Amino acid sequence: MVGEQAAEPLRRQSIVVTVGMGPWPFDRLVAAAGRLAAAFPADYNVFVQRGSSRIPVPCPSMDFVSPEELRSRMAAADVVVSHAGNTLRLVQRAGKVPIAVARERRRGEMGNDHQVRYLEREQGTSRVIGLWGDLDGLAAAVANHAEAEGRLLSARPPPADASVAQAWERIGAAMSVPRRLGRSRWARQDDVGRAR
Amino acid sequence: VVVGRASDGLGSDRGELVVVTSAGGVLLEVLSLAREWRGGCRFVAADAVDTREELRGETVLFRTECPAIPIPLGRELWRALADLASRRPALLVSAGTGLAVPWFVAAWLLRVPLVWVETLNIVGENGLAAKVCSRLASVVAVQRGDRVGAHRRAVLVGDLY
Repeated sequence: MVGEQAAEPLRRQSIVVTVGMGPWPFDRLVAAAGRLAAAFPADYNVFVQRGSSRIPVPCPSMDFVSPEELRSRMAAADVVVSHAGNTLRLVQRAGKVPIAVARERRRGEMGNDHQVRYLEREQGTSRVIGLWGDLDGLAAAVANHAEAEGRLLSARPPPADASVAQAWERIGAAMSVPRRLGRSRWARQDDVGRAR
Repeated sequence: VVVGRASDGLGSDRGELVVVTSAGGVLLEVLSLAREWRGGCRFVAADAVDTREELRGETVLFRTECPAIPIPLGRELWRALADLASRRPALLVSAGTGLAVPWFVAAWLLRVPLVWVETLNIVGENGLAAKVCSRLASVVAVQRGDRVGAHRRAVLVGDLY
């Protein structure tokens, strides 16, 4: 009978928030994740890896998780929200588009601003969505993530493949090249040998 | 120090690699390199959940590293000098962070070859530890083409993980 069919319950989206393994607290992101979980308990199943932050969150959380567990959680997540660290590349290699927040030195979130510069660069060129400021835009970013992810996946290339064997070859080749005096210890040894 | 195959300048029997690493992203990078190293390998690592798990089964010297408890540089330098002088590794590699400084200084004093890995998310000015270590390094491995000009001894290696 039309109109009496039971409505299929909506699946709660899985949101994983990670602040990395470093010792600096990232209270701004942890607090924003807590606000998201509190505001949309019926929509989002939020998990927060809090790092050294002591901000309480109304959802499942852990200070640190093992790399294997984090990869597993990120692979299963609908949306990954991460600090702008090397985790971004892991998420991108899993075929996802992370929402990224840069740690800022002036807020005591890191000792320098390299994540700010990194995210400023990446959000213009790679598969990442940057989020800035007080992070009140997190809920909107999560709500719009599917559309933004689809757009970025089709518009921007995947990360370049890694080739570590080739990296060692290049490092070895560079180390085997003698350098001018004063530019490397290898060169100093070579030049001293020749002088004798 | 380095023997073996000439094609990559490092050889098929490369001797012992010492990897110095903090937790987090830098661990991913140096672990990738360590897994492709043809020779012995051991680690000096910040004590953290991910280093404990990823380095399970490896030879590891765990060290404390957090901003509230700066590494006592003098003591760590002394430990590094004693360790490296007795073991004489073929190469020491690190991507950061603060823990690397005393080990790089010790290795430099003992003329152990050094490779500094510039982490993938560096696109501008380096932090203090990176500045010190990259200046001491025999080679700075950079992962982005536009970073080659940032170091005197840079070599482009591309993404490591």
